[in-house]
Amino acid sequence: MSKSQKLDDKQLLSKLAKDFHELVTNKEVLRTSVESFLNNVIDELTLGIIFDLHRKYKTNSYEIDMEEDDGDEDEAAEVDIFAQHDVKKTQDCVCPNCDRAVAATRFAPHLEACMGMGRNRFRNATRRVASSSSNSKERENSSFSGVPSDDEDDIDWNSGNKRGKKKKRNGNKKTKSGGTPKKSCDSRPTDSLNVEIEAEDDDLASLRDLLQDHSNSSSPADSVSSSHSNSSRKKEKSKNKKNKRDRSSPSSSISAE
Amino acid sequence: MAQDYDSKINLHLDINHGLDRVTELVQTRLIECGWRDQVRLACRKAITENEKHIPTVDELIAIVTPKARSMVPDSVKRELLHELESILINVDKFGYSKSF
Repeated sequence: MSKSQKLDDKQLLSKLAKDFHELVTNKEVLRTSVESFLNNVIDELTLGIIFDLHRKYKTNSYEIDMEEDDGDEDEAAEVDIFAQHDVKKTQDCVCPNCDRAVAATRFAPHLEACMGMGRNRFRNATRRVASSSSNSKERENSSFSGVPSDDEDDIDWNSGNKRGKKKKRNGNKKTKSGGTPKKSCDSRPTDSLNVEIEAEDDDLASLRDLLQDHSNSSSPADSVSSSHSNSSRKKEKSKNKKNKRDRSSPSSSISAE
Repeated sequence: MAQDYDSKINLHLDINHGLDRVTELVQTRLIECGWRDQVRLACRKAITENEKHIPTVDELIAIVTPKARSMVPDSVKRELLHELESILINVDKFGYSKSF
């Protein structure tokens, strides 16, 4: 700060001090001013209470009916668990994906399934995505694009392998037609790469879907039943392919059958 | 005018970093004596009395503020006044804000 500024501040300070001193020494003035100050503080507190309560009432935190207990923070309109009135007044959310009204408590799992983030519902999601697009090649691409998001959730240290797998799978699928495996009879010596089993599941799922997409053009409901029958077959097929790259033992045993 | 004095005190206290302490003191005193709960209750009554029609904030303020002022117990008020006066006198005594 410059000198002049300092001087100004000092002057200001001294002025204020003088003013204050005058205020304090004059008893009557002091009393009235302190009283008004206190009133102000009380008013402020009151305002705070009013705002708080008003907001709570506006957002329906309290039950308006005076018969029930006051101060229930939750929506007290629904009766106790023990009284078991009606259906619970759960707020329904609209799923952005499928535009369905879903219960709030089930919203997260529903989204998981709907958008294909969960493991088990991955099939449904990719099926939906696949069915929405018309071209078969587009389907492949779309299902592939659906895969990375799930795979990325999985173990990261497999990401390099996965990319390699996908590229190879691409080549394989383009040569395949109608889903008949050319290497079903292969049985290779296997490594104990149990580490990659988890990643395999997603790859399996994606493969399954792709194969299904080729074979089935039906609605998801039908594909569920067919998927169960196909899944075992396709597990073998896909696992057989992976035998090439020296995968874990269980796959080889299945392929031998 | 009283209003001027009030803002003056606010100003002086603020400069001397005493405003927070003072407001905190007043708050704790009022909560201790149960004033806050009383005001809350009165507020709730005022809200729920209007059948199914929640009054606006302005209406609430107009209704509740005078009640709240009157609800402060006299003893508490006197005590607070005394304490405030003594604080101000102390500030004046020990020098007006060394760290401006």
